[in-house]
Amino acid sequence: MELLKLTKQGLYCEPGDFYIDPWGKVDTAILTHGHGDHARTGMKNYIAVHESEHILRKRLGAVDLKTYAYGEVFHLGEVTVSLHSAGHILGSAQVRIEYQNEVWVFTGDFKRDLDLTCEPFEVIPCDVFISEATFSLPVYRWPDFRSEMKEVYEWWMKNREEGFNSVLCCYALGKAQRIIAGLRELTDEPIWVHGTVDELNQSYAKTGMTWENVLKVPLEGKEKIHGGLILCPPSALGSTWHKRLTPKKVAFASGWMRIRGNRRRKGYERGFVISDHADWPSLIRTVKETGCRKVYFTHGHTDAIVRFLNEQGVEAHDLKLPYETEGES
Amino acid sequence: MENFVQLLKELDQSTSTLKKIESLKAYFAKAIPEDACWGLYLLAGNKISTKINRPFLQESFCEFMNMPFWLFKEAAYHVGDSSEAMSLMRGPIDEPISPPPQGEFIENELLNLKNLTPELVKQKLHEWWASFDEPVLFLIHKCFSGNLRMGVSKNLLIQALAQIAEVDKEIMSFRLMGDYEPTPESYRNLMDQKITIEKKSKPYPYFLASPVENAVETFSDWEEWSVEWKWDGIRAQVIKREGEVYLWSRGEELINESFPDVIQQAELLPDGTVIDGELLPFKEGKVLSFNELQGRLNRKKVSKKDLADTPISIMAYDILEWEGQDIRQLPLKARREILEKLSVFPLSPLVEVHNVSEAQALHIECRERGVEGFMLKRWNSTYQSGRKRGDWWKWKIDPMTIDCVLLYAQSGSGRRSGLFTDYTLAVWQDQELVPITKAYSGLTDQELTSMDNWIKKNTLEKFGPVRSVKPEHVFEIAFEGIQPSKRHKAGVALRFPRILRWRKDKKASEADTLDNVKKLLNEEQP
Repeated sequence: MELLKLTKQGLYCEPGDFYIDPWGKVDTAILTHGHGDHARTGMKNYIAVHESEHILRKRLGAVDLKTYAYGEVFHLGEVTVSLHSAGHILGSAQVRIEYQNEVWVFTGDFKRDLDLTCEPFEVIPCDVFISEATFSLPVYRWPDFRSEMKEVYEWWMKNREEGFNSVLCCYALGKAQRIIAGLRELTDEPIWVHGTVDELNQSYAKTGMTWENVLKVPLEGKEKIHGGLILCPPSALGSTWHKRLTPKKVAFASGWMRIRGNRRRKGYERGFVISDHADWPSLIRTVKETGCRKVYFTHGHTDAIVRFLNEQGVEAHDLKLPYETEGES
Repeated sequence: MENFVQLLKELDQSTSTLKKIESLKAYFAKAIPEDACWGLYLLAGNKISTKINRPFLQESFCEFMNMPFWLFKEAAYHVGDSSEAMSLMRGPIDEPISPPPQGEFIENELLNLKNLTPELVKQKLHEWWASFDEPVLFLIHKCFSGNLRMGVSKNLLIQALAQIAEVDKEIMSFRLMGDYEPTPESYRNLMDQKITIEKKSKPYPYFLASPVENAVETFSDWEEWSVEWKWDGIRAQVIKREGEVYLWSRGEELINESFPDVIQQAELLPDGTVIDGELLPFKEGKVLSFNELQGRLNRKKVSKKDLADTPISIMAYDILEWEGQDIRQLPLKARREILEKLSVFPLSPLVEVHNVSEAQALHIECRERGVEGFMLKRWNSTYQSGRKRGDWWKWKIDPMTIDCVLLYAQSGSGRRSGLFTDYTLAVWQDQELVPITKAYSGLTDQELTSMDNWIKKNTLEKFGPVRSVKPEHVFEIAFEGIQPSKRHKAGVALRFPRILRWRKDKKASEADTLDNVKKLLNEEQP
């Protein structure tokens, strides 16, 4: 690696003197999105896109944060930088870096599938592409988002008929909002949310998203929820919070739910294949569409995709970064 | 096929047995016999005979997907099921064609594959991969591999079918014994309320003994019980009807070919006789070890040498049919009297005991006699089916066992150096885990490695070479004796403890309690 270097603090751009999603304390950090493993506290200055401001403020507090529009060009040291939509969650960005006629792109986390809560992924032609690879095995192919939403809706209605609440576990940031927006295309029924999801919904609202009939699960009066759909982070399972939702059916929304063994091991009654990461075909397609001459993969089953692309004549490498892989391992 | 695919979806999504039975019933109630006969066949774990072997299927698939074989392998390994992996890799498609009826597809397409050239087979496969939906492909792949279990046990299947056919569970299990032919006709017979004549080869469902937990409580009046040795052989039923002999294993396999010597003896039985007993190697009137018997198992062709070295017979202990009559409703005493009149097979001898301590005295001798313990059968019991508690007991002389939670691990030595293989295990007392024993051997290398990885990732504290770990894994510990001990925190000491099994099915909370373990102390010293 040249323009970007892996250091103890994170991925570092020397001629621009900044880091991308660093994990050590540094002066200047460009953040690709607001998930905890990418947006950490302790940096002197932060740079991100406008759309992620409220999410980041909620996580990081009153920090020195400068935001740009998608596609807006700015300069750091000797390099030209711009941020482009990654389609992962609201305010997620790829980082484009240009220096001495060479273009590098860092994707952060991204997906190519439909998401009504954020801008779609933008393909940025580049020389060197640094991509996530969370789901980099060919068994990971996402079903159409809308048809999976229909499955969620049907599950909810069936549970209601049988007298159960439907508890759907998912990431509180990004996935929950995406699911709510997806369900709003199918129904005006109230959707109940855990406090954590509710707070993030407020951050989305400040960015212009509107939530209708999305309600926080009340402390008292669970009768109101009867037969309802409740979105909560998986960590809320097993807590006392959860108990007030009985009788309930519990499902999990994640890309890992694609595999039967995962569904059974996790013990959820139902798994919905809804992921905010790129699936295998998207990863391969995106690498090819960027026209890059070299690609690095940061986290996931990198071995397989590296070997596969090398065999296809694309120079691919492994670059292990300590980011989480959608709640697994 | 749609009904069946729907069933598989429901089975996949339900975690409760009751729900599974409901789904099975819904399928069998809806499906026509032409389809249902195959549904049943597949759920029972059978495969469709196509002559297509796994490498051919997988290579054709890689060709279809234009995917390197190593990548296929990698993904299949990740999924843990290559049938599922293939359907996942093909993935969702926009406009799948709806699947043809199940029976029709299997009979016209799958069974016909063996008449086609490899090129044409490949063409067919490619056609299916290009046009069917993921769940349909999953099913087709499972037809080839035959391990479509979906958490449906045979017992569950029998329950569902019995309820649909409105016949007793026992009758359904009787009807399902032996070779099931996937034809609409045999399915109709299976589901027919009236049909009583079963094929002459059919065995009766076995009556299975339950393990004794507390001998003193279970057996009060010893006059009521027949006591026999518990032979360490293979349970079998021998049938002589209309001049033909059938030998059935407990696994419901017809094993005539493997035991021509037994068949030859059974020819001497009168017609209309069914005997329940244990296949055992006998030589010069003595019972040989189980190992000798194993040498004779699974041999389609038995050599003269085999017959001479390890002659097999049946130790008869019950008679279920006599003079063509089903006599299972007679009390054991009466059945035994009939059995004693036959002199075709050796008769399982009765053991003279009159109380628990007499039995226990013999109990210890069992090992030397090469038997596993005792069978206790109530003299007035009928021959029932399946495992029904109350009248038949097996009192094994297995080592005592308890389920313990792994608390500490220490690295081993020699071949196991660097691996955390020496475990300290604990049981529950109130809300706390109390260490009760150390144990080493018993796990396979693979299990040791995977535990080692887990231990390294889940260490709570390090004390020199010892690590404390998250209390999560449960192991079944076998031991030869238990004594009170002041030196041990738990207050007991185990003799010759060793790991019997890794109980992956159990959570830490399900491990034994110290109170339970202490109960064994009392049993040890009557």
